[in-house]
Amino acid sequence: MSAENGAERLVGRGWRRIRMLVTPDGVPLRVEVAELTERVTAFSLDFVFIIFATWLLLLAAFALAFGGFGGITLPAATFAAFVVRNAYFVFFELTRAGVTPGKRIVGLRVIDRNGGALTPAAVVARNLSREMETFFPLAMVLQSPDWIAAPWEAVPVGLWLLLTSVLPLCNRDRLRAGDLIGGTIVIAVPKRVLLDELVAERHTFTFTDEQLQRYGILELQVLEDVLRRSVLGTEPLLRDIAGKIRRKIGWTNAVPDRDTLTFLRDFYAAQRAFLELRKHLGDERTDKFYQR
Amino acid sequence: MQSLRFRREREASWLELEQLIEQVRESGIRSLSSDQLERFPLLHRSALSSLSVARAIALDRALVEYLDNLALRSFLTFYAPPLDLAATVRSFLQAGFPRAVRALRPHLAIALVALLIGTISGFALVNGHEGWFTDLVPAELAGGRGPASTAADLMTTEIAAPVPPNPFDAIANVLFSHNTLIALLTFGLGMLAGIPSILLTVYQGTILGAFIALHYHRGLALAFAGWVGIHGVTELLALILFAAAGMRLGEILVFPRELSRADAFAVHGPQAAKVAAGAVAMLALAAVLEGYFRAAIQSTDARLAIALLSLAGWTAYFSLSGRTPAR
Repeated sequence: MSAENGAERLVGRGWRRIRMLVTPDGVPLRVEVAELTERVTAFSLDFVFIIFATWLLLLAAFALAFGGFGGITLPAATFAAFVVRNAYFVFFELTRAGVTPGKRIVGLRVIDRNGGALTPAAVVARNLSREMETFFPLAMVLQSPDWIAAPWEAVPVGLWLLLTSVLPLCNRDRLRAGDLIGGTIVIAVPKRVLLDELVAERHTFTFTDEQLQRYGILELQVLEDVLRRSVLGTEPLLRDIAGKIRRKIGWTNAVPDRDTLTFLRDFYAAQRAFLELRKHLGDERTDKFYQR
Repeated sequence: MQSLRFRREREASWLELEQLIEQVRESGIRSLSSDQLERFPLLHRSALSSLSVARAIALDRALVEYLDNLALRSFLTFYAPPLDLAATVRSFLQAGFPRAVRALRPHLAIALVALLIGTISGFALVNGHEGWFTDLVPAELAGGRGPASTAADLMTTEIAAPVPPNPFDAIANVLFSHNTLIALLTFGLGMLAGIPSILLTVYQGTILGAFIALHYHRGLALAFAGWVGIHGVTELLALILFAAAGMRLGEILVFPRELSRADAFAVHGPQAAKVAAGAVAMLALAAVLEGYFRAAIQSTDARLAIALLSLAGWTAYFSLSGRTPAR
């Protein structure tokens, strides 16, 4: 596990926090906690949709007004805005299993923190506090007519807004107040495809066990990443890596430049087979320093 | 190589599962044929077991990552809550809401006391000196009423005001005056150890007390009781529920008992939120009573009757409903 995390750090992926979620079947699943930037993006998208929906609703009311149903007044508009912005999140998170349109675009999802089903009460809980967390202080800052005359009045409200928006940064699971109350967590569910197997059917180069003693799992997985990413233009880098490996394992035969990739792939296959066997025999070699 | 053989043997079942997940995501669980429905749990379990095996034997990072992701997506698809919105609402009103309210008896008592303290102090202050009224009641709530109003003013502009030309507006207006926001804040800010909930409840009581004193001085006590009570019983009850739910949140924060705070919130928070959600519905009902029926029913006796009836109704609902275990 530590080796995997090490490789993740080295190859610059895994920028999200990882949390284990135990399913009812008892299998711990690795979930990626959505980062604040993603959450803000999803919320902003939803916010745009909400404004759009409210606007459509008012437009419909306006059309009805011509039919003789009374005009649109400020209270009716406020009412519509309130209903839309509060019903929106609850409706989508309930009927789409924790995914609002904004979250869907960004690839986020609300789930139960303890691996159970997302209950309606949890959804309502996490959204009832939205008014307190965001909309109310936001409206106070935006609407307060006299805050230009008396800017200090905006200070406590600004502080309030700051506090609720900083809260997700103060805990490991990026919970805002509503997530805390509802027992929910927002995770990122990127879709991963099954990449091709790197180990080829036929080998050109063969390695002795002695030559495979040099590296551990961490190095193997960094090499895996290099091979998976190798495209046109990375030949100098590959040659460089192959050279280092050859020096390290004491490979004396020459490897022609055009065979660099084949050499690395064969080395990867041999090294993986060797390390998997060692691991199977109870000798897990996390990295090249395993002996010390 | 073990991981290579493992992948070759299982790969087809992963891809099949992935296809099912994609199909459910695109067109819903109902689009699966009965054969597919039968396969799904098998494939799900097999993916979970593949993941466990892969973690144990495979050093191919891409493979483990893929299986991790596949198992998670399968889990989320498999355990997505089956939700019939209408049935959920029905069972909430029949049992969930009154049960959640009954679980908060001590909090309800404290909220009621806070409201009474506020009302009595508001009344005492304005009763002693009417100048307090303008200090206690925000201008937009006072709506021109104040120490300068005469009994006749209050009668015509307020107590005997006619049905507004656009009842929907009046209802919406009432709902979005002041009270709803304060109510939601009473609940949400309860997270801060419950103190804001108590303070806001006392504050709401003070305003009520100030109004009572103003009318009492002009000999309109009974008429005012009818004018406020017709919707006020429901509204104040909702307010107490919000405060009780807010205090419950505060209690969880301060006394998480044997759980961690996050876990304590996860277990008890949704229960408190149920109370607040039901109270939102009560506020909407109160707004309809206030915006339309109050003006439509001009007799103080009838107004008082509705007030008492609603008090009896809510009491019966909260104490009797949902007692029998759910089917």
